[in-house]
Amino acid sequence: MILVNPIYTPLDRIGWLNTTIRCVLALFGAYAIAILMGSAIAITLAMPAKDATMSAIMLGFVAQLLAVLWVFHARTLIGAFIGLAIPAAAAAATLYWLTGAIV
Amino acid sequence: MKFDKQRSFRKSMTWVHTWTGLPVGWLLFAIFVTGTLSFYRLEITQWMQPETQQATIYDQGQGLTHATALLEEYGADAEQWTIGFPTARTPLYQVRWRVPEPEQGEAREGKPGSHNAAAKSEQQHSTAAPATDSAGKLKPQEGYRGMKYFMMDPATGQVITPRDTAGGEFLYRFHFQLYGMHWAIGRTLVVIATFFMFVAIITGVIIHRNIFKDFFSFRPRKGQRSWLDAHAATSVIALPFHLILTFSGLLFLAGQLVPMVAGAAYNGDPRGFLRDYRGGGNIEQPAPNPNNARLYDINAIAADALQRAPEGIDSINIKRPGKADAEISVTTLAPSLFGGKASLDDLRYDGVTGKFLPKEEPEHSAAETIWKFMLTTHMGLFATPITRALLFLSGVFGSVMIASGLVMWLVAREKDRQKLGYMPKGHRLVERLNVAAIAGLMCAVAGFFWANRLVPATQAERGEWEINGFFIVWGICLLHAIFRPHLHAWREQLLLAALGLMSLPLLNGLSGGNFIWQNLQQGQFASVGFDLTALALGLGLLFAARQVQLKIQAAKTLASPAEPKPRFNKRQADSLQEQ
Repeated sequence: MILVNPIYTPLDRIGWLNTTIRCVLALFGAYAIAILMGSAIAITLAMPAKDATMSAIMLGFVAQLLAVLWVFHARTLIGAFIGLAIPAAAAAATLYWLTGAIV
Repeated sequence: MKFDKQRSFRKSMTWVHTWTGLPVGWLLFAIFVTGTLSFYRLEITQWMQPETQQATIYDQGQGLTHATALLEEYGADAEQWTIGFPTARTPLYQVRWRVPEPEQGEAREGKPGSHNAAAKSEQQHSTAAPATDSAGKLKPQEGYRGMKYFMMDPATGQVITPRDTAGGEFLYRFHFQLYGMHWAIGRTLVVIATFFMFVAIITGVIIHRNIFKDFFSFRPRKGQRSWLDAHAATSVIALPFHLILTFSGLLFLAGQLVPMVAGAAYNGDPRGFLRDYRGGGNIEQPAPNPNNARLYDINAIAADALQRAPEGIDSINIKRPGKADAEISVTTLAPSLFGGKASLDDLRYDGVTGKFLPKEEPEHSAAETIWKFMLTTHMGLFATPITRALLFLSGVFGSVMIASGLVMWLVAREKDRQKLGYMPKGHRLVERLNVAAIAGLMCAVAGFFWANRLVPATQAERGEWEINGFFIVWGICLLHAIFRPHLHAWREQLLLAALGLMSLPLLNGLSGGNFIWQNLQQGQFASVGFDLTALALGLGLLFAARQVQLKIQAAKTLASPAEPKPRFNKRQADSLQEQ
């Protein structure tokens, strides 16, 4: 299990690169999480469109926040990346399955 | 921070807190300060139009009759009338009407200069005495989207034409879309900074484990410890405020940051959500009835509305006055979370028969209630004077929180600098930006209010000149911060801001407005509040300047240890010599 036995890549060992990659993941990866999960929530919630959208925007921002925290908490870069990739992939799959397009 | 080493969650979060706070801290401080002032933006506008302070504001019961007469005379062909009542925040009647005109397709919002642009053509009458044309008719002021309006003294019914001003509206708009750039860019910058703020607040809560213990143990004059205490105390004391305001700030501008989410349930069109959110978009409007009919007595409507809502009346809106399908709606001062733009309840009447039209209240989901509650709080809607003061105070705490955080970044690195033996360029940059963004902004705010009184009342585009004053002062402060030694720059700018703000009550009385005691007598409490607040803020800045002064003196005595303190005073020394 990757979270138990962290896998360090060479990128992890270069201090400035490690920090830069995490910042990029936190800025753009977390934003993608907000968009994908927010959109997925907006179309799956069984509510009128207005209420579902409001819930989705609020939950999307919370997801983005958690994603940022995760990126800097994760032991390794791979862990940080996978932690974002799994929910993003799940949300993208939901979107694709329900609407035929991801965004 | 070594991210490849084992580290605690708290340590990682400390890093995130520092590095989300610093890069946007200067912008956030400006957003917080202008936003805090915006809680009193009506009062600020009123102070910046000192002509309104000359009104004899007590309504003798004739105000509404005067207002209606004005509308009948000037707005006979208008499609809509609005009578804004004097309230605790605005002492004058505002009588507005809109004449139908061809759609110009102008954006509904986000046009910061359009009010001034409209006012430009009307410059010739920017004095207290209302201008008249050859037929002896008054010339109305012009507002947004073809709206014309008069401001009216409640007691005498006399029209007051105040000077053109950027007013509180400038600070309010700067708060969410900055200035001098396209509104979409400004809003995007603001919402990105807001998200950083959101991350900084949450990580701040995570890393301050002993949040309450820290709060009750302020340790003054202990260097970094004291800064940390001040930072933590101002954060904790208004934490719910900071959280709600920051999160709702994200929601306000969500359409700018995550339009895809807003449009997801509307086939990708975020405007669909906006229409749905504002409401009324789906209701079929019946064709207008062209027949004329006499408008029902507005005084009677107001009396009935006061029976139903003893809180008072905010405004009366008349749609299609003089037509058979006229409709009157009274916005009362009774709070209602879902009640229109200002979250006030409104009562509807048939405009011809005067019959009360009960409305059905649709159900609202939990999501909408949470959303609305946060946005309403953010805007300080239906806040009582005390709640509003608390919101303002929380905003002051938030500003101090950001400022102390920015200063702490430097204080916390004091040891690094001592180890290095020199000042790194990055640290010097933060020093300069701190002075210009914190003390410099306070100078700019003072400069804005001074410009309001120094620019002649009849000056063309005087609103723009007030704004120029704001940015010129800010720019000079930036230069000053770049070229002066750090602590001296702090002291001088804090002192300037303190004097600039503390002198405002005096300036008000000397340049067209009233002195505090005169305003107290006349019941102009909004301007009294403005003057007292300026005085209090100035005193706070003076205190800060004094602290910097002490620091400079302490640094001097440290720097010259060779000069021993005199053991005796001069007389003793002289007498010793004589012996």
